[in-house]
Amino acid sequence: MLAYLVFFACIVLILGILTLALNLQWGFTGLFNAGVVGFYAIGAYTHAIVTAAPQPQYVGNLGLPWLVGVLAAMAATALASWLVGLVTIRLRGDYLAIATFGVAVSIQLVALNWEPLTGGPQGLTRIGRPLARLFETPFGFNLWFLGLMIVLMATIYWALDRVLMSPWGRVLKAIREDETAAVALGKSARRFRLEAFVLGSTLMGLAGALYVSFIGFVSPYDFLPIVTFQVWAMLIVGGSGNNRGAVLGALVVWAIWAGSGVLVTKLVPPSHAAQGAAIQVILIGLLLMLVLLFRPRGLIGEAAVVSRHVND
Amino acid sequence: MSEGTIHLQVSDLVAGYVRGLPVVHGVSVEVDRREIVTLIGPNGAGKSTVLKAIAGLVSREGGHVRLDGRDVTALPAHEVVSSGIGFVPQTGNVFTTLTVHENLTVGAHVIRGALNERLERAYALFAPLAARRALRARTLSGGERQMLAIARALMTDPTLLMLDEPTAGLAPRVVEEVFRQLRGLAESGIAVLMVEQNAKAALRVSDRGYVLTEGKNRFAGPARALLDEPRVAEAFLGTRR
Amino acid sequence: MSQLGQALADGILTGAVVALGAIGVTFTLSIMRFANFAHSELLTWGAYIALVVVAFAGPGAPTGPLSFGWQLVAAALIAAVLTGLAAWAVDTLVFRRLRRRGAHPLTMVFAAFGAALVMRHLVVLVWGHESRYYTRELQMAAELLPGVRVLPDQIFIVGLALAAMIGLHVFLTRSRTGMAMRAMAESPALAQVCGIEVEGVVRLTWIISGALAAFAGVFIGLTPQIHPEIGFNVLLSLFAAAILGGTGSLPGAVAGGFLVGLAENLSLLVISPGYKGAMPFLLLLLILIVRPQGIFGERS
Repeated sequence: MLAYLVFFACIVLILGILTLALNLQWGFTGLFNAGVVGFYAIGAYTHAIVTAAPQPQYVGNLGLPWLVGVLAAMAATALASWLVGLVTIRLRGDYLAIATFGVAVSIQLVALNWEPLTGGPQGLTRIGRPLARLFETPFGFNLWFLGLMIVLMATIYWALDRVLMSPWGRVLKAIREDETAAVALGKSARRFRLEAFVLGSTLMGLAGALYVSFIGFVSPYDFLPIVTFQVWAMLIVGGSGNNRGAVLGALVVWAIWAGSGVLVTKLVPPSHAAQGAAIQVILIGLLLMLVLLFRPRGLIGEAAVVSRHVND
Repeated sequence: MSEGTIHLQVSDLVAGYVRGLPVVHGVSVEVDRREIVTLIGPNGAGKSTVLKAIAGLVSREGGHVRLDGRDVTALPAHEVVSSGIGFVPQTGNVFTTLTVHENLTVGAHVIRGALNERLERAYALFAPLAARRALRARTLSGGERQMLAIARALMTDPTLLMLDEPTAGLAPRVVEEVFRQLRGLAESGIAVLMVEQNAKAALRVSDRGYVLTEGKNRFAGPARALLDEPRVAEAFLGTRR
Repeated sequence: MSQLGQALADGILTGAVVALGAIGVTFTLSIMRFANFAHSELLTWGAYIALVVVAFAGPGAPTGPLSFGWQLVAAALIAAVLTGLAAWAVDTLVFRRLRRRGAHPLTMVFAAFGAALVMRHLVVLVWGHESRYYTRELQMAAELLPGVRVLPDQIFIVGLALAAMIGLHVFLTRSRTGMAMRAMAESPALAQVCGIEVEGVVRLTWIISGALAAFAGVFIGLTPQIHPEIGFNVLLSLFAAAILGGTGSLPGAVAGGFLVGLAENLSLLVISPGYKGAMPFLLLLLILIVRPQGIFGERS
């Protein structure tokens, strides 16, 4: 039981980083990133390719240390998101959603097909994990990893708070709240949005690297569009525009997801496993629509955004 | 129809683009049949907003709009035209992807039954449109587009015609032509209310005018008087786009 | 050379189906101003509804070279009506409520994500993941040109799809309701000034979109199978086609659909089939960089 809770907590913290990153892009900058899983995947795969033990059939598998993998993952995601952002940031909201969705689909296809690099459908194993050799049991490693995640999460949370209160962060908020201010700033507004997009995506890449270094292998089936949807659900349920809400949302939604999964396996006979899984997804989809319809602010969302001019 | 009521009576109108943030703070305007009334004033004075509020396109938070005695303040945008109000917005006033003919047909959306007579009348009034009836509005020149926009608004035989900056961006000769058409329409019995940045020219063709600043009435009176009034002249008539 | 011919033939078939789906997407993008990620599930629902009808009435004995009889066409028509109504129902339950509240368009996109998941997994719940078929009849492929093989069913589908598109085009250009729809697609504000009621046009748009999507779904199901992912698999293609052609334009959606279909199949000549799904995305990026308003679109 304890082992399960530790595992659960690690996953929640990783998803929490994803949600915080998405909050930066959506809650603070107003960018609809429908391809969260794509950047998550880039981080995960980069880390895997850089740190996995060398094997002849793979082009990558450089066998480098864990930390190098994590940094490489962040760099790769930063670069990819910068390129994507250059093209898509100026698009209207739903076009940005479509474009980023396409990015994620394409990345998953590359992961699935480019076998010499990504291992194709089987993925890659023996991925770099932090200080793995020091721990004999999986439980021991997980406990250490949990500690690491708590420190990382706290650092990231604190760092995001500082960034958002900095002059840069205040400009970002101003752009989000007042479109006319954004238009007046013109090109600069786009630059700020791009920077927020890249920063958020880099964090997503970091989360990806952490995820695969936790479970020890990478598979293209861990990066399906449903992940994007889960992260969005976390943000919306928790309340966007609010970092506390993001983390809380991650906890609540993942608990519901895992919980409903357990319920379904208990109640539904194994022969109908697929149908059982479908029930799980339907529940989450309904939860999401209900929240949007009846409590759009989420659990602890901020008050509705008001134009700055209200005090003039 | 009640004799003796001014056709359009706007009293103490409060309106804006965002609920709770009005741009128009209690404006009153009257327009009668057979007259042309112009709203002038500096940028941001709320002149366009007054027209849009009457047309139901922005939120109305206070005051009344009466057409021929009937309260039309709270009408949703798509019902306004049925009450007899035709509106020519400043931008996006024609459907560029539709042909001239389709624009006019859509303009008469609320008219059941055959449109041939109305269409022929429109083409008779605006000859260049007749020649281009099968062409997409996108291909028309600025002046022709303005003509189409006005013709479109006239398809429902409105009793009140509102125009937002009808001469913006038009060559002087075309401006004259537009004003001439408006004069003719007024003479045929329609009440014409327009907003114009081209204040001098507009006042010269109008019967009366209102000067609005910062969302409120400032001056009002016969057009000739406003043209001659030095305070109006120094503050606003010098302003040109 | 024959490979090229085959790719072109396959491209036209795919294109016809994508075009049908893209028409609905292009109108929801322009009239309702949000990216409806649930649109592709209407294709899936259409295919399965027709499957239910076929389960009762049978697909009909093969007529001529086709693998089915008129019963399948009737099933498709029934599916079209029911899917159109289903689309309207989803709007009434979810999107219209959000619209009334003045919800941010992206909230609607997000609700569409949720609706899509529910719709798709309801199908999985009832039918599971296995592939199903309208008919088990085998078909002889006809050789149109040396090396270019098409099934008679495929020719029928392309013909029917073109007929539907032409029918819709006539409706949009000759009837006043159709013109009102196009007017609303271009400018909701001006359309309202002309007296056109938004909700009426919205309702019609959903019904037409749903019906066309159902046809597309049945066509996919016919060539060659039905499973819960058939809609989702073409989602990106539908969006790419709609944006490529210019939102709000029927000719645009049709042109976009065929271009996407051809691009996907021609790309198979040079890249591995696993990457086929990325083609619509690349086309999308290309058009957004080069001409964001699409082929037939207006620069705003």
